[in-house]
Amino acid sequence: MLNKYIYMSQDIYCVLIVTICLEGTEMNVLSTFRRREFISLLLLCSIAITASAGATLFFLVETGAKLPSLEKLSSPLQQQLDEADDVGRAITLVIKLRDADFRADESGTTVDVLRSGADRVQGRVLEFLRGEKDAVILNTFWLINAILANVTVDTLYELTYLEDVEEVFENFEVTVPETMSESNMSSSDVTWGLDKINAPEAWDLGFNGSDIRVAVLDTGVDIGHPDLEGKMWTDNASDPTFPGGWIEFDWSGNAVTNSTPHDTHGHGTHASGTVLGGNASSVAIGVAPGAWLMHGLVLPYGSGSFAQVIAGMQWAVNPFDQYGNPVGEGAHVVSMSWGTYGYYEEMIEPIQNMRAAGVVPVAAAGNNGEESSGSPGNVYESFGIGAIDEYDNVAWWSSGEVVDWAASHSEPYIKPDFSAPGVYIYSSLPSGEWEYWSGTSMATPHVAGTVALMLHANPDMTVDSVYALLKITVEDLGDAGQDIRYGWGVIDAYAAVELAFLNSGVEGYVTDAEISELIEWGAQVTALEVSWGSKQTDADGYYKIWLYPGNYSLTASSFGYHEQNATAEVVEKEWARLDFELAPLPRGSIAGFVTRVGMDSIIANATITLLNTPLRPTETDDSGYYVIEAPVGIYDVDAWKWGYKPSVTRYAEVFENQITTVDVQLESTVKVAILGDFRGEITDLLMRNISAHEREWNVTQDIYNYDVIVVNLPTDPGNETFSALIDAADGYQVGLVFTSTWPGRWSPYGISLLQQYFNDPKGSYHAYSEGDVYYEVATKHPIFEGWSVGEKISIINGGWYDSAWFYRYSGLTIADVGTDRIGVIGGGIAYDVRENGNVHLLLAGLSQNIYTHISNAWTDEAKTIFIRAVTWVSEPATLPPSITIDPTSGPLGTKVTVSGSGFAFNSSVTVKFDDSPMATTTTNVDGSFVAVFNVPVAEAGAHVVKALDGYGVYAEAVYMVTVAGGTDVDVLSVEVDVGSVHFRTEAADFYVLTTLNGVPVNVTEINATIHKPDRTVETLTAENVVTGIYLVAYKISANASDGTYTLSVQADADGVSGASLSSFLVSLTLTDWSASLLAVKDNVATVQTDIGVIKVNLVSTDAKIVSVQGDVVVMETDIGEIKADVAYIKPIVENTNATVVTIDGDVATIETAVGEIQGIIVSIHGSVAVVETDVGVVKADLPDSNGTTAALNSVSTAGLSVSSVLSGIVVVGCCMAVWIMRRE
Amino acid sequence: MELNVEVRCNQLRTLLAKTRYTLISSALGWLGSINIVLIGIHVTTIYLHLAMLSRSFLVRAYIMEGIATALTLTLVFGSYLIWRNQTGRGGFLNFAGGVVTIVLCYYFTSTFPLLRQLEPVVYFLPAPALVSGLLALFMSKSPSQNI
Repeated sequence: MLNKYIYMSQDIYCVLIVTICLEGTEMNVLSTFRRREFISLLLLCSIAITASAGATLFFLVETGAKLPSLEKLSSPLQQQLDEADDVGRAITLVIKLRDADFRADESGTTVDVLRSGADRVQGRVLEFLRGEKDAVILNTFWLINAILANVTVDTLYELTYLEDVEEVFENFEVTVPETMSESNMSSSDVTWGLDKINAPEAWDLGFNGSDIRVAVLDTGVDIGHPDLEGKMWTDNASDPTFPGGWIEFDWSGNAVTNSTPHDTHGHGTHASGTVLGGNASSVAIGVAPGAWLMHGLVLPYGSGSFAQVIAGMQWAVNPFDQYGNPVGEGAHVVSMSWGTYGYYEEMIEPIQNMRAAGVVPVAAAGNNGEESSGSPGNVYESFGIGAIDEYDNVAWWSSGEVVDWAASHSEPYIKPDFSAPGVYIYSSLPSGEWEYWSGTSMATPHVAGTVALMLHANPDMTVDSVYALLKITVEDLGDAGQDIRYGWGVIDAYAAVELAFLNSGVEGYVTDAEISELIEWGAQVTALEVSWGSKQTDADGYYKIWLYPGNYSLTASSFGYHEQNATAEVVEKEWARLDFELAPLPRGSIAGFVTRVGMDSIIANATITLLNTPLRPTETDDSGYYVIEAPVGIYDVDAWKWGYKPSVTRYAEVFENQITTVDVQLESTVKVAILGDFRGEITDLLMRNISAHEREWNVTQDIYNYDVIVVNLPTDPGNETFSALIDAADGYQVGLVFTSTWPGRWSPYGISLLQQYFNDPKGSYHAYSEGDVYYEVATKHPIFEGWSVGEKISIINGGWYDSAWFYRYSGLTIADVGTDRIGVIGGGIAYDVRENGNVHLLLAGLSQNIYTHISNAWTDEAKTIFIRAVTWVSEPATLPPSITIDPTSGPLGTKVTVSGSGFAFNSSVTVKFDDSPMATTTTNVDGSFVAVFNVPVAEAGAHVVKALDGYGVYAEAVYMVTVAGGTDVDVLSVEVDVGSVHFRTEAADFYVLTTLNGVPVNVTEINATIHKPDRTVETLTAENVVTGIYLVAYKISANASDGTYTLSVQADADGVSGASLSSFLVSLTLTDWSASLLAVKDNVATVQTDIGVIKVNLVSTDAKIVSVQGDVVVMETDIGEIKADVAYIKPIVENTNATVVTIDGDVATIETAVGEIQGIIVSIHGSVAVVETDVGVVKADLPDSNGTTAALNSVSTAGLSVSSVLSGIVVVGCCMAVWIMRRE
Repeated sequence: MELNVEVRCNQLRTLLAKTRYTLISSALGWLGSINIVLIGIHVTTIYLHLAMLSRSFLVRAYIMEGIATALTLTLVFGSYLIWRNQTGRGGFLNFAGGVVTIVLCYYFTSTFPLLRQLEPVVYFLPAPALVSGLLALFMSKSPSQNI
């Protein structure tokens, strides 16, 4: 809601301002006498609107208005809201609620529990919705705890505040996959699909699915088809609506009344025929012809909504009639020949609950080929089905992949689960027709029918048993075990039904022989005679292996135990009991130290793992030592810690009751922190090569732990925090990598932040769908090793993904960005080496958003460049801060020198003695410093000396105070700072610090005198500024002599005296020194003079470029002339920010990075003046450019261009017309 | 009788031709006034922008507004007079307006280069007003039978 008000206020404000400006422009031209009135009106409107916007915001904040919890909105919904311009428009949404907390006393069926849980949680949200006048409740669901409602965007944002609301997503569309059809007549008495899965052989065993209910959720069914007639379940044979066997749902998932069985598409009749159709055409088409059909019309004409399919699933689990009254009985199997491409978390809960209710969920894997899958077929708990043809080949369009979907299952898993015939499947169509269709939609009912046969043979089978039997009876084609094409293999109905009917095998428990308890890591029991005979014990130590009657040899094994063998006799319809008690192996230990390669330092908290064992990893202690106990055997020892490359020590043997020593050395690697890592992809990419993890902006506090910070896609921290990060990174020489791609609404990219807060680069841009994106190498660089200058390196593939680039960066651009369709667009990779050698690197185009990310768009070359760039930026490495003190002990008043290193560059450091400030100094370029203090009054013993820098980073040392002669000594210290060089006419300020025993104090008397080169002495006044600090001002006269001046200060504090002196040079001007410019950075010029290199602030000294003599530019400052090479100055003047200061006639004075310079105005266009100077042509910004003025100027320029050309054409045309008329 | 018909036809032809010239001249005058409005807006906005550097530019903006307004009114009024067949006075006004526009274009391309980026087509801007004025003056000086 807050956003809405902000956007509305902004919109109104912009419209009013533009309107007023346009009116004002009109008045400028036509009625100048109204300018004052216009300006007054503009000001009044601006103030009024700003005030009202501010008051609105204040009111909203004060009344508790909150920003919506956008993370509760699904990504497509967020995108839809971004594009929506009408916040009052109603949207149909599914409001997913949190799972109910089930009560201990809750009893009943799974359906009852789900229903009561949903009722409890939904009550509060429904009450809220009923209180919103714009909200309409359309439906409620219990298979997934959700509500379907029509709400406005306002209400939607309010909903996100509710704790019970877990997620809100759109009522998305679900479709039947595209199928391929062909009219033909089968020449066999059964379809090839039934033949392939050995269905007729299963029938011969006497099982045809009788009394098993199969629910087909699809496009409807023609129950009058000769192959389906009489097969639909009904509670009332005289009711044409087939209660309990037929239902139709509308878009909101509500039952359509008076609906009778019909098919809107043909797909549903075809699928139903394959499940349980007869042989009216002389060809048997159904796998389980004796089963009952339940059909839910959820995809009218081939597509439906999420609400529709969920309503259908609920109905299949717990049927009701068209008025909501319970009827019939729940289905045993549900066949779902449809899905949505990709991963829809919304499908997980319904499938899990369906399975928990004892219903077998069979779903199509999808028709999108290898490396794809669709929901619900790709949900871990569903039976995902792929399609094969008559020759056992997997259809090219049949989906399958390794699914890495943590929301569905903690570990990656493979889909499909099983394959079944799905190419040219002959089955029924409405109006008594038959046709050959292809698709995983056709394979799915083969499996659903097979499950019906199995349940007919053994009605007590659980869903897990059905899965297990299908798995062990498949024909394992493709790679051994489960693969992404065939799954576990092609189902065999005969084998599965036979085994289900036999209902025989071996079962039992595996325990520890010594303690008679469960084996910690589980055990494996294997029946050697069958391929499927290997089974892992469950959480209770129980195993169960389905076996045909006969004699079997079984082996039980577990890590850390002796293997045990046994035999068992299996008879029909019985489960042989065989328990194993495994004897544990003797144990020993592996122990050792983990240290750093090349250094003696130990590594604490390194993780030690015995590979390929279930043993829990251990960690090294503070001394770098570890011990890990293990059964006797040979192990590979893996040691790793974040920031180090993992090391594996192979073949370490453990002996009984002995310690085997394995010392490990780890090599340090580049340590990277990523700010804003979309889906953790950059971390994943870097962790394969170096050490990385995601951090927040508070990384500044311990930035010295890292070598590189990647500023990728963080939240906008504001200028202060962003600048602090840059300063800290430069201070600790931590490299910075900034990235960009198409920016999101709420999160900027690193390059965008640089542009926003430092205006460097000048621009950060992006595009999409401009073809594949590449870097074009502009210069040789280690990042491009293996590529040559001018070569194009493909970084983003796929044609429609996003690209990004920057424009006018002050550093060196080493690669440009280009796309197939546009060519080179702008800067791609650039870097800037900071004053102390730290590197900032810009990587445009290599970042992520929901459309373009590493896994789907980055090429291998892009990944290589990213890793190389991060590694390159990491140099040079930094050491942690440390201090040494000298001496380390002594009496009160002892002068102690503190030397520090590894601190931030150019940072102030405060030295404290037991938390009392003693001295303050500034670190050098290499992060080192030296400070001195006198030991203050303190008790004898150990005291902490601490050095603390400007970023809160510190190092400590211990100082021992000793007693000297039994008396304490007070020491008054006077420190004078006068600088090194001053100039005539300069008003110099000198500061004096007075401390008593290291503590700043005001003195009772202070005398300052200055001793001049001509031997004269002048007394100066010392003014107290703060406690212990005095200011001595001295104006150097215009005729002051050159030479050394010395300031002497004497002070007295309560009888304790102190004195100090310090000298400085009053110098000739820079002109006299023949000063030459070496470099300019941030308005500070590094100048080579006769007395050495000095630094001059060009702004405070009013630098101006006054002339150019040949190749030499003469810059005049308050302290004399500086000469510079024109070749150095020219690019600075031309390429860095310049601003127009004054214009006199056609002469403009512009402020550049090297001072002011005058030139002739070439043109003024928009808010930029092009000025020709002696140094070069400069584009200078006019001051405080107003966007409206610049935009108006662009419009008028365009108008003038068009009008000029038009005038020319019209005048020529008119002249010709006059000439022609004259001739007539 | 035949002679009368021929005379009437010639008169009609002459009237038609004159009407065409009036239309062309007047239309060119209108185009000239649009051009000066555009120049006025362009130059004034830049001057207002530059006023942040020096108040003298504010004065220049006022002056430019005055010139632009006066020139626009001159051309509109001149075109109106031509439309009303007062081609002599109308032509003079439009011709004068065209000359002032030339001076403005010259000043803002060579002395204070606010229109320099439009060179050389910028000199087409005064052409409609000039041609309009010349055409109207030509009409007023010529005997009607020669038209």
